[in-house]
Amino acid sequence: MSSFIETRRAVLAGSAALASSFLLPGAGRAQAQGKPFDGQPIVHWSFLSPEGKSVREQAIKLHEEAFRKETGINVAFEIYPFAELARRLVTAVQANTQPDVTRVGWESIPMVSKAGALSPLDAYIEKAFDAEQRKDFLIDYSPALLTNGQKTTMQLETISHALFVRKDWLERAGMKPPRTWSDVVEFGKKVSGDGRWGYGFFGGKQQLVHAVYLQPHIHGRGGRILGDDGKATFTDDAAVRAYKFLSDCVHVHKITPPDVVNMSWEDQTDAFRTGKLAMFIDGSHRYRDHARAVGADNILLVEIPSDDPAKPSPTPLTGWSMGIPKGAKTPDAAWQYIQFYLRPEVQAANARIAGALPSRRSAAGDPYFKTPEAAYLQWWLDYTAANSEPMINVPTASRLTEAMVDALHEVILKPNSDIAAVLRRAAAGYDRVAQQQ
Amino acid sequence: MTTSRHDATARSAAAARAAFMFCVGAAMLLPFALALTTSLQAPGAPNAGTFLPWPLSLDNYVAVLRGGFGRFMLNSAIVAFCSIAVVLFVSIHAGYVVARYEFRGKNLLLFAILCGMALGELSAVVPLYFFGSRLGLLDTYVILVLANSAFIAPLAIWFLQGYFRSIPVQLDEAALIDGTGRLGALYRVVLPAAKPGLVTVSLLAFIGAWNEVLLALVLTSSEGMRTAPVALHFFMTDYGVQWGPLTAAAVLTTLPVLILFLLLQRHFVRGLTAGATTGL
Amino acid sequence: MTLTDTRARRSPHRAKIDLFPYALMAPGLLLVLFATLYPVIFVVQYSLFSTNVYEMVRFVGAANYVFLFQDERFLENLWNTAVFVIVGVALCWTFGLTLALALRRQSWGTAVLRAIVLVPWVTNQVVLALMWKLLLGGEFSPLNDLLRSVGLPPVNPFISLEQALPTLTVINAWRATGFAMLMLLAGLAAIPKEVDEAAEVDGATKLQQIRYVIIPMLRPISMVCIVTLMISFFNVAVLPLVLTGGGPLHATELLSIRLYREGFENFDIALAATLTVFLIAIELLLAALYFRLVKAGAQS
Repeated sequence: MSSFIETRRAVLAGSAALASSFLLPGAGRAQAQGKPFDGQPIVHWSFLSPEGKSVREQAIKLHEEAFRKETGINVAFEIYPFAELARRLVTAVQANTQPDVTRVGWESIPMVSKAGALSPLDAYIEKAFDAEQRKDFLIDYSPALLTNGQKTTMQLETISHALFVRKDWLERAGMKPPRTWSDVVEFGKKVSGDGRWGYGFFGGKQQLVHAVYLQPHIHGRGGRILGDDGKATFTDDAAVRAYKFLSDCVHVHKITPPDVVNMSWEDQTDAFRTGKLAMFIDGSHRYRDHARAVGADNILLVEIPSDDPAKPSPTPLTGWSMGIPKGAKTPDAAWQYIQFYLRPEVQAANARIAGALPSRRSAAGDPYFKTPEAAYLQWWLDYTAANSEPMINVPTASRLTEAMVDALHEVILKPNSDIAAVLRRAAAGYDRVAQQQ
Repeated sequence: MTTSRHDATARSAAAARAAFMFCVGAAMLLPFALALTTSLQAPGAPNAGTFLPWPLSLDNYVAVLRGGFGRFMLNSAIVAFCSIAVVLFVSIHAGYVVARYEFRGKNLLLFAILCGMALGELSAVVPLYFFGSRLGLLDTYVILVLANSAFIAPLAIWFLQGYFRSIPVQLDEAALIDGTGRLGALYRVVLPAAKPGLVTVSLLAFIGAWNEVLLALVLTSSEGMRTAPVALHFFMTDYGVQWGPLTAAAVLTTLPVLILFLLLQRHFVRGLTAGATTGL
Repeated sequence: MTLTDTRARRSPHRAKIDLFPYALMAPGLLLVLFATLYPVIFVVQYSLFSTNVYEMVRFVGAANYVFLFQDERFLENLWNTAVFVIVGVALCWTFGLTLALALRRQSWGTAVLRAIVLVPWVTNQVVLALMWKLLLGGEFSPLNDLLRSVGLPPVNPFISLEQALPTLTVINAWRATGFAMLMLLAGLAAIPKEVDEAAEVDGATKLQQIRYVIIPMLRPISMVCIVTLMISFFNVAVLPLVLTGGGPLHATELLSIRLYREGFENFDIALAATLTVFLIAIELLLAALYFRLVKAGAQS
């Protein structure tokens, strides 16, 4: 992760570029003036439709209109459920029915790349962005997103995470925002009871997305989930402490219900939105819906705590990206489309309309982020710049998550188990199967 | 006196019966009732399940139908009716020869069909997806109808052959003597006599195809082809479960089957009956 | 008495092969083979390789099978599935029989009740799972409100290693009761009135009638019902997936869930194919068993 100063520099440079592109209307749009792909149809796979009603889809509708006016390219959307995009992409490439451009979910990138379903984008990137500009991207050049040293996707947005806290309950308890996990326990104890719970995390196996909190819990305590060789390392002292904390929340401090073992992410969301939960870790893309349910004034965003009040846990980063499937008929036009969505002003518009964090630092220079309405976004950008890391992303990520969740189940259901032994067994089990693939 | 004791016993028996039936009905309906009451919530209500929606509102149904759920139900209906047609065609002919004819390899063919009955959709999901994508048949009515029919056909063949057997062979013989030909005997004489059996098979095929979710989930993708059960699946969105619309859609999906069953119940059971006592 | 007999009687010297039966069987056979032969070939093939998503990378022979045999989790899957199917079918048949006997008479009331019993069978599994989760899971479920009102401690069967599988099994048996009831109703309707009346006249109690007269007469339809239910239960995936996701730990992880996980989440098609081969083998075994039983029954 680059340093804060470098970030500042990039933001300033980006703002300058943004400002100049407004002052010199011709300069930024030079390459689009030619309309080399006028009338070209391209097929785009997504789970969001320009005809949809959600805020993200409304933003897309505007962008699509602008894109068509500017380039003349006709984008035909094919909508699939977000959980299905990756699988369908892989078989489509093999059957030669692939689209020209597609959205790719964070967790699918390794699998899809390994299956050879995406074309490398490096040639395009080299022409479009120089080395300095490439630093503008928050997570694109982390190892998690490189396959064989090549980039196969570009991030459209960033999803960052934080601890959501019921501000009104906090004030009523007369407490300060939690900075350490002990603070969380203290506040949690004050509010738990009568159907309310202090701290929530989801343990249900319906959807394997638990890394969103397991990663900060472990990494924030100084541990590592995976070693550089891909072997599981969630067996160290930090991991043991993390698991012990989660188990203690249920059994010792009683700020988390035992039901958590079968709670899905949706159940946890429902609990918060219906006023049954005080604190939980969730993503930036969910903020607006949470705010609508409990009231923006009642939500406080806090950096994910750790055991050290001076250094919060790193927030995990994910987000949707776009890629060009292998064998796509019109890759150049597709790249135009991707580039459009990478523009800082488009990303700023997404932030304004849909509350989506940009994937480029320069987008953060947009005046929108200085408005009071966007204060929470600015806060998140600062947190991300200061202390973040990409979410763990390997082809066997769902197996890894499953191994860790099973260990969590065991630790919570059998409170007297030897946590270190449970974790060692889980890690060994994961290593054994992951080798095979 | 004997009469009043009998009356008392009869009355308490009737009361016990009624209580039993009430418990059964309640147990069977409880989750559906919860879905129904949740669906009648007003849109402003908290996003959760509830037994006591207040104020009552049909807004969820309106929203769901406006959101295109009608199209999904139409797709389900198209697939279901086409599956009925295919299943009937296949099972009438196969069932007839199994019931009326002896021929070399009959046992082997029967066993193959039994194996068809044995293999469920789960085993076929990944292979059929692969097969469909290679042939460009994914996301069409064709592959859905074929897949659904394929899994319903064995049971249908089994039932119809049992039903045909219960029809006296003299009818066929009379028709043959009249010179209708073998197929004519089937179409003109046996089929009309087998109406209840046909109703049974049709209803079985309808229920099977209407509710089928695994294959439809994997074999279709675009909204244009989506069936109702699959759409229900996708109410668990990126932003969480939308209880109101989900339960409204669930009620809508369940109603057609229930209504059909209520209307055709008598024929259905009668059709099952004749096919019931004969095995293969 | 078949038409072949009739024709044979009329022209016993007919030696030419009659294509008529084969022609009429053909569409059915082709349709069934489409859904069975291709999947079997596919999964057997893929189970012998190591895969990169849908691509067969290297022939590994029996390695996938060896892996499964040594996998504790797989053994747990088999056990869970055995309990789920065997106990589930037994419960379902029993519920179905009870309801069929109770709703035997055809009347307006029984017609409505029969439809009510069928509701779970025709309701989408996702919705059923979500509703049952609301009813039984969680601290403030209606179940726990009830228990608390009588002074009992609250429960959540879905987080208990011991209670999860039995609860899932009962819920699934409950779901399929309508189907069992229908089949057994048909069987009951097929019992000649004379048999019923004879048993009553003999002075047997209702229970004895059921045990010694009715149940044996229901044998053919019971066998079809049981085999159909078994196959159906082997293929149940959505209900347990949404209810518990296979948890807690692997307590409710059926073969179907494991297959879904490996195939659609881990994208390990080779392993999913191997699991499917096991599934198919078990199902075919049951089918062969049924075939035998029916042949034996027909002869007796």
